[in-house]
Amino acid sequence: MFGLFDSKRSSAKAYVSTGSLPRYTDPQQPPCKKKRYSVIMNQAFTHTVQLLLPEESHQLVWKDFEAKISSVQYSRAIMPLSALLEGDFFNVYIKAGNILMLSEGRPGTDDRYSLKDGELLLDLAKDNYERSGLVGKPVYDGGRKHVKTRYEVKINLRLPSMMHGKKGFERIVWAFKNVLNRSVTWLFHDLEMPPESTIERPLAKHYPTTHVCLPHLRTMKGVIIPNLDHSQALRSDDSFEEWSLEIYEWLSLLELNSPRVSQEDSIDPFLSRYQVQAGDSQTLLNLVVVTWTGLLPGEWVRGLFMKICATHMAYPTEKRHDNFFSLNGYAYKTDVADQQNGFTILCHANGTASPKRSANDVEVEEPKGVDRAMDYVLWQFTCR
Amino acid sequence: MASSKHIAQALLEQAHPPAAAATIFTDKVLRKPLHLRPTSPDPSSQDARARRRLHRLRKEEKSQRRRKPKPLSAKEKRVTGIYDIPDYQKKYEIYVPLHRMWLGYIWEILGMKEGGKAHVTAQSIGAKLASADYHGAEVTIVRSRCVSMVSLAGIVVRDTKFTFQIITKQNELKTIPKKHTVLRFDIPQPGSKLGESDNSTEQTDKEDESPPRDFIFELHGSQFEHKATDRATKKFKQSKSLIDL
Repeated sequence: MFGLFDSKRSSAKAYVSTGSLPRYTDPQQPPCKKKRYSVIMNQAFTHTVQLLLPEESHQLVWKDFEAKISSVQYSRAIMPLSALLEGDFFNVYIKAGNILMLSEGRPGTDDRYSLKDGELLLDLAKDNYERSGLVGKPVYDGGRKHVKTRYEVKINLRLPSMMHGKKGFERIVWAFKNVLNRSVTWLFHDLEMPPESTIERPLAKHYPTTHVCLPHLRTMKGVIIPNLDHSQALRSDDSFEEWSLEIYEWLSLLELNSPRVSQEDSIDPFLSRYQVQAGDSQTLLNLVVVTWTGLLPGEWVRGLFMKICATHMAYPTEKRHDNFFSLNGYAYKTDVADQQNGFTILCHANGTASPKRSANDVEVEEPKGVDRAMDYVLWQFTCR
Repeated sequence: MASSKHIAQALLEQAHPPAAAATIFTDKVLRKPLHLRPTSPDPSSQDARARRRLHRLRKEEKSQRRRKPKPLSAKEKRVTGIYDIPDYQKKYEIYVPLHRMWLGYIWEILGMKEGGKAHVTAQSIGAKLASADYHGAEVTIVRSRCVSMVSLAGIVVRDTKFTFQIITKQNELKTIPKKHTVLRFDIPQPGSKLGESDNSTEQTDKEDESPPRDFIFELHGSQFEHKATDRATKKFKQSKSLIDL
């Protein structure tokens, strides 16, 4: 009413895309433009990653897989913004290295800072923005149109002009000394430090507490598997939408460890009428859910996805319905609106090489059992 | 051209005997008088109003020659450059004595004395500060809608209705709009060395041994859009839109 609120912007959205995975991806040159990779990489600050796969393939691939994935760790430290621009920290981490930092603060309420690829992003309330003297631009705060209450200042600290003594840099130093001088809790991840190294790093000055993100395994027994093949559903938009919602609901229930998806479930239909759309042939499987929590950088999630794809290609399972896995990642909430909240990728073997696949697929006639091409479905969520 | 007779003569010959017709033609047609000037109306009588006007104007002109010339309009005055500060006067050092004088003035207003402790509250001094003169004050911009002006500092050299003009330590003249701007004034205690009012003393609060802190106040420029001369006599009112800068 009255056009005060933007109806287009005020709802959460889910985007679904499908395609097929290539047989080989060079781990030395990880792609970044393909949809699945760009979605993973755009989500800079991930707090939870869950990998879901059948127990059989878990037993097959896990040992090999665990050896391949690098353990990931993050630190928590309390320091003011001005500490970022001080001597060693600035030179080692920002100018030479590559770090990921995220500060505390509720999105849309508190002042929030984040650092990614040498670009410092300050999300400031109007009062502090006008006091800081740093030029930024207004951002949508989720409230009324045309009322600007929040501003975003982007500073690329890797620019050659960002040196102590330069005019523009001294402005930033002044703002961090006089206005934005509150100490805040930061999550810190060094992308270039091998986790085993024990060399004194500049962060040690701020007494960080370091956490290692270890995988947490959980097994679910007797889970009803719905039809994961989307080739039938792709025939019309309506049926695909129905199928994707159905499968996403099922995946979410698995993440929640809900008993609704298991065979032995006996819930009063008065409380829940959910049923897995399994079709005629009901398949039962034991599933394993592996969870990592902590500050997980996009690079690590991308590596995880590439490795799980590669190991699945290397260890084909006989049965078609066994050969699937799903990976999801949930982002820290950093913006009030228009932020990517999370993604889910479901990959499954597309069985025989028949011409029912999408257009960009390479159609090669291969004998049964050798064909290990996988299709994927990608869900991408944005918050309001 | 005997064949083509004058039309008047032809007509007369039809009505009169030829001798009479010739006489009448000669008298009335050929010797008809030609008046070169219109006889009526009289030109001298028509011009009387114009003459009166001319006379009046001439008289006014004569009286004006004795009076002062008309003063210049504000715009004309501005064009002459009388308000401009020439480059050789844009020097911070020139205005430091002015700042010192202003400090003496503001100490007197606020009742701050060397060694003594002045207790001030917003109620007691608010009205005084609102009507004080700010030429020569050291000012810092702490908040502005135009963010690139934040952290500018200098001595006020002109206080117009809508702007402050300051000379910075880099000897630059800056014009700062009062609208959407918050200005801070740091007033050192009497007796402390001028120009050495460092902010480190701010933390040492309520300790008798430590030197007394600077007196600092912030001014919302949006509420202060008056000429310095008007402000002295004006009663200050708080506007309702204080929150929205």
